[in-house]
Amino acid sequence: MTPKEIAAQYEAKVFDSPDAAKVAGFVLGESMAPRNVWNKASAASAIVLKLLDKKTSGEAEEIGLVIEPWSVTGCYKPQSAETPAA
Amino acid sequence: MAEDTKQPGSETPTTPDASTSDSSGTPPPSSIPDAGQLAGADAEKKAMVDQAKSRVAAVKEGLTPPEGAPKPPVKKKEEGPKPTDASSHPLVKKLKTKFGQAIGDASEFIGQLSINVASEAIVAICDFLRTDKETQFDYLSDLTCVHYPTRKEAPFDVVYNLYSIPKNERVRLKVQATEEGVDSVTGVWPAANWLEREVFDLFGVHFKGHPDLRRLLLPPDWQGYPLRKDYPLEFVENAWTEEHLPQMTEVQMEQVQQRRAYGLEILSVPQERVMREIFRGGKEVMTKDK
Repeated sequence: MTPKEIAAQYEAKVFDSPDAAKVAGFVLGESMAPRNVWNKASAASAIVLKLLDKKTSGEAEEIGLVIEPWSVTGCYKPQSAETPAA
Repeated sequence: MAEDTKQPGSETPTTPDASTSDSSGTPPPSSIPDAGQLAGADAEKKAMVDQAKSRVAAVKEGLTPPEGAPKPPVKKKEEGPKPTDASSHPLVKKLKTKFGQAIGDASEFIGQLSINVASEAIVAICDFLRTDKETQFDYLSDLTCVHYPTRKEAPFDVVYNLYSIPKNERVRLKVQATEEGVDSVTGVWPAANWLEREVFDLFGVHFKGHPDLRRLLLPPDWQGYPLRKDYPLEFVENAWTEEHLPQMTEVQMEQVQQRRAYGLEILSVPQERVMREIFRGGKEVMTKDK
């Protein structure tokens, strides 16, 4: 599975840049720069699964992935309505 | 047929007769094929070409459907075998009569029998399968685990692959487990010792009653369980690597960053070189496993 497919499976939003995620009110989290596509998928999966825990615990309202050519970054929208400081 | 097989240059060359050649040097008419001969050869060649073309056309006609005909349906890929219910399998019936509710669903896939088993009864079931004269599963072929991160109530399946040497039969037992784990089967098969340690090392599943449950492959102070789905494939710097592995120099870091920028991180040469130097030098990088 590609990172986009993984994001779709776990209902995570996909952004193509960190700025886009910040503008949408997401807080950037863990980031990985894998060296090949298999590792990139694995990194995306690992990040999403950790974010899912945040979502189930109620800490995050929405989760997302910033997928860039050479990196994957997790992001989430905090449960409170306040937009976090960028 | 003999004429057909004759090589083009094999005819005896006709020597021009001096008496017949004129002073201008023009060859005598007998040495040049006359127009009739040429026309005959061309006609023969043309006939052969036409024949070949008609053969090709006939083949094409057979392959291509006539105009307006409906297209033939696209052949679907043949679906592979699927697991079937094996509740009527003699072994499953036998276990159900003996252990009742502890035996869950059973399925068979390409001749491989898998039985879901309650975690509380795993030791008793294993012991029974080993000692019963009809089954005699005396060899624990493998003990492994699967992580299902979305199955919150029991995210792990501990899998026991058993083999009966006297009966030449195999069976797979599956137990759903949490991190707290299941009872150890080292009392049934001593071979389970290292297999359970491996599962503990890579998945973090505990085995109650194990005589020596500690990491097997990774350093004892390693953090995390690499075969879980939430553990990335790629090497990640962590507390252990920071403590035990030498840090990269600034130049090396810059090289890595440049490689990343150009998408050449695949090679990761500096890191590998550092690792090789460590192991060539025989430097002790792991704490003693005590």
